[in-house]
Amino acid sequence: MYDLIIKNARVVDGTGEPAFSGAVAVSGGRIVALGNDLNGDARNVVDAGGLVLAPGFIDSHTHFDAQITWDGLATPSLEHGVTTVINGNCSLTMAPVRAQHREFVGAVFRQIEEMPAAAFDAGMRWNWETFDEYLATFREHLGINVATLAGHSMLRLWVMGDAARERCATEEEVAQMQQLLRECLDAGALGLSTSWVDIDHEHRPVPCRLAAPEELDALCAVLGEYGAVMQVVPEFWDPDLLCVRIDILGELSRRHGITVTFSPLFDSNATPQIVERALDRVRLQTLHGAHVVPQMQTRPIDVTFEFDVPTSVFSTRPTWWAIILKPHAETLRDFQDPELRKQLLEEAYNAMHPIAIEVHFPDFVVNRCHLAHNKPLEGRPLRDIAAERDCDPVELMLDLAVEEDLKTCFSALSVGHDNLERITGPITDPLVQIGSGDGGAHVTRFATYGDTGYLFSRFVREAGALSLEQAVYKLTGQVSRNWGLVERGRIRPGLAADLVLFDPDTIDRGPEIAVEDLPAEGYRFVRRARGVEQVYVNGVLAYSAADGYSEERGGRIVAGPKVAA
Amino acid sequence: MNATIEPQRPWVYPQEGDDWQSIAAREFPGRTVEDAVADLQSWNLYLVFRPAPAMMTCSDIVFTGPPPT
Repeated sequence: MYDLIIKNARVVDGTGEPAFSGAVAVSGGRIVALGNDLNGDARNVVDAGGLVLAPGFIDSHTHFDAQITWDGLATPSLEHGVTTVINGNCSLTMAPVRAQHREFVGAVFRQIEEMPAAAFDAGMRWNWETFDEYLATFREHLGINVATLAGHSMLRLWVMGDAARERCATEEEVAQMQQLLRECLDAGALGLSTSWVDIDHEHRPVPCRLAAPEELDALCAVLGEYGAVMQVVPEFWDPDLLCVRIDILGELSRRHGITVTFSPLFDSNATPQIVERALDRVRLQTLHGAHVVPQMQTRPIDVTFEFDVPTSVFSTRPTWWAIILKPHAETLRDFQDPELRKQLLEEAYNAMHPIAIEVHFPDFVVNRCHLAHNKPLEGRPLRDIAAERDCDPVELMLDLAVEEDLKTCFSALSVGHDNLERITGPITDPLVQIGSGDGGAHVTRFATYGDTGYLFSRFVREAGALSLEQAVYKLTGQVSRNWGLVERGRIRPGLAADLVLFDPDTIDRGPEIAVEDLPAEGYRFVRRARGVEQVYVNGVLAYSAADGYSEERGGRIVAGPKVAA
Repeated sequence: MNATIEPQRPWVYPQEGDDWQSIAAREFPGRTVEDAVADLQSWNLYLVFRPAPAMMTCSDIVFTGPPPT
């Protein structure tokens, strides 16, 4: 007797092959049979009613490293059909970290991934140091599969201490990092992550950026021993720098026989040729035997901000930046200073756009108001409100922020990666993997969930740029192939029963909403899913649209190809 | 296919302890350091304008030639 049969489904198996009508049988957490005419008894029989049954989606660029320690479901990933998340990107991981470095690592993580400090501090019960100990804290509580990279910055910090932030490593230190990386991989790390761009909370380069090229090469040699993957953040806003980095990654890939992936590959009005140039370089490297995988997110860039916290929207406007960095009372004071106001308006209208995004202040939308009488302004662009009130939109924003003690949230919508004419081709390119979603990060700035649903709604249904089967492949089989997740990403006998049942005509992301479900009553932006009916993780029903999240925990730690989970 | 892939622009990694002057002297031995630094900086504005305390690191890219025309 099977544990589960899902029958009457439109099975899309994650390989890109045409769908077929049939059934899938599951036993012991594995797919054991599938076909048009599957017979047999099962403890649980689900009639899919003609809905699509696909492999569970794999979200390859997430930062649930902290959240997973208090939320074994990595919410809201599951409801979007995601059954595996890959954490530990961009050189930042919660292990291996010595106790004396927890404060520093926590501060860096909160700064770069824009996580509320109160939630981080309340949620993290930091009682581990090694990678093995870290995984052990949540291994038994997972409702979703979790793969985790080992962060290059953390390896340096472990071996070199504070010197990791100051200098290159010695040969001996590099050898120690190599051994530490082996220990992480043996414990279940999926690979290595590093960054060429991130800065910490003190505006200094994160530790991995102090590495000489020989150090990264030595670590890639270890990845080659394990068949593991490296993820990198390159200078994604500069075409010339990005192409150099692609060449570097190609060389590392060829020399060590590894897959290297970089994220993000962003389109921008400031550099409209960047995606095309980057893909040309990836194609060249691929022709020469490298496996370099660019990751693109499906969604446009939205940024939501409030003036008590610095945000990239103001990074090229020095007066704004300086004022926002001041203590609350001084920011309030300066926003009301007539002379400073003149400077703020001048910069608002005439300064350079920030990296990778294009912001026009009058187009900002009032996202959330603190005072009841201002609530009717929510959802409205500054431009429209200012026209009604016969005032300048930027002055309006400042007045509103001051009135609300800087508690107003504003949104800069579609400020990048929103030119569908330029993006659609690359999204559908066989070399490009869907990723860079950043789930778990930037939670008080924008919702990093729902890219999977948006792929179907925007690029399958609206644009017709991808078939249903191709879209499913890009979220499953392609990702599992790139990352060496050999047991997932396809519906095949013997593979893990990570499955999602969805309506292809309605699957989508919902609107961005604020929810207060973080520790210490913090809020974050999320999107609910549309059109996802059921999600199974290793054969366990983890989520259903009818009943929400299940109490059962079927998630596993997903390790690299050489190590069993 | 094993042919060497030519870079689109010439570049180097900084060595530990490098500054503009030392890179200029090493990469352009036939030129005055002052002139070479001026060119290097014009080709690497992202490093010139990198806000303090961030510094040039051994993992940075320093272009040693202009953008392709």
